[in-house]
Amino acid sequence: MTSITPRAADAIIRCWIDDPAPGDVNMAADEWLAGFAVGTGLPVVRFSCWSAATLSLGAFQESAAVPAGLAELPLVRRPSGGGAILHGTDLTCTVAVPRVHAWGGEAQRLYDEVHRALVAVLGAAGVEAALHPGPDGPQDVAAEPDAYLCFDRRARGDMVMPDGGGNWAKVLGSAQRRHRAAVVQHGSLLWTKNPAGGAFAHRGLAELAAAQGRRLDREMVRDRWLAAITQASGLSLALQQGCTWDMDGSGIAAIATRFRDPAWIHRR
Amino acid sequence: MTAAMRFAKSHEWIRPEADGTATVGISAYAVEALTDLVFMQLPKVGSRVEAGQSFGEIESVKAVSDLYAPVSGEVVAVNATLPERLETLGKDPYGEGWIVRIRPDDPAAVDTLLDRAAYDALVASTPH
Repeated sequence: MTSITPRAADAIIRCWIDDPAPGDVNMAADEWLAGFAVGTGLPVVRFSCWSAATLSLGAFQESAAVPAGLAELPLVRRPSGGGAILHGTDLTCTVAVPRVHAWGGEAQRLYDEVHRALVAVLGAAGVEAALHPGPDGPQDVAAEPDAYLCFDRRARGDMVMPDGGGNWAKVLGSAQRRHRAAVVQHGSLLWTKNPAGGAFAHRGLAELAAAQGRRLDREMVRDRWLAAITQASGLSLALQQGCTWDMDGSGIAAIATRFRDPAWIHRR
Repeated sequence: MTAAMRFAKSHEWIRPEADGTATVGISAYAVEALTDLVFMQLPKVGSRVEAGQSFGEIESVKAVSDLYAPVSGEVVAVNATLPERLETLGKDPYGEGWIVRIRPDDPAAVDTLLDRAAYDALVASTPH
């Protein structure tokens, strides 16, 4: 176990690469990250994955409206907005930023910084990907603005890839919770199609890159993405040891009780 | 917008009314920063709000933000049709886009908030 005391004087971007965890712990760790970012005055990154296939709902989605084919999955509700995400074969990238930081201003800025970093990484690897231009853009196909699932929606700045059929598939989407002192951005990079999703599952980055003749390694992409985010921030990277939720005194376990409370999960 | 209008650092405005209540909304800057709004959750009439605490939430395409009460008091009215026509917030944030009306515990608390010039300075210094 590790324990860290934030110091504002360090011009670094800290990053944790956490072991798989259940939904309530992942949500709690991301909320804890917000407080940590405020304490340091700098952006903080957490890469995480999920110990079981889980459906995360956006802050205001109706839990009773979960599609029948996904209704048996564990459910968690994010404090951030957007559509439901089927986790389990994705890589979750959470970035917490103090509101006083340049990335804590307009919502689109942080969204674009993090997503653009991945587009650049993929471009360097010879994989075609782009930021979605928004509802009026030429790539806006097969998208439903009010779809229940995040990956059936398109918003400006979503990362999309050619799907081989003339359309562009979304593989990275993010949503934010904007607290008074910090912004927490949850990002989900769909790596492979999730077998728990049945007809609701979407192809991921690895499969769409393979269709372009490129084989990608998940850890390589994650590490280069982190390096690109770090470069965009203008800070130095400080990779942290251990898991956020395994640190002494973090309080993440206590925060997690809120996220497994049925009153929160079924608030709507 | 009137000279008596005051602003919180969290971008809510409050305007004292002649009947002792005060109308609350969010600034044009806040609306623009939130971008495309899709959902708003309002408090119930009769509920209490505490200065600096969340009294509602607003969702845009990319983000969920809390709405913070500029002063403490009781909610005496809500703009109940606003969630169905969120575009009003962009068109008329200081008029038809009002969110709640409260009865402040201490009407003088409004005067402790930022006036227009101070708020404009705050916005000018905020990261974009």
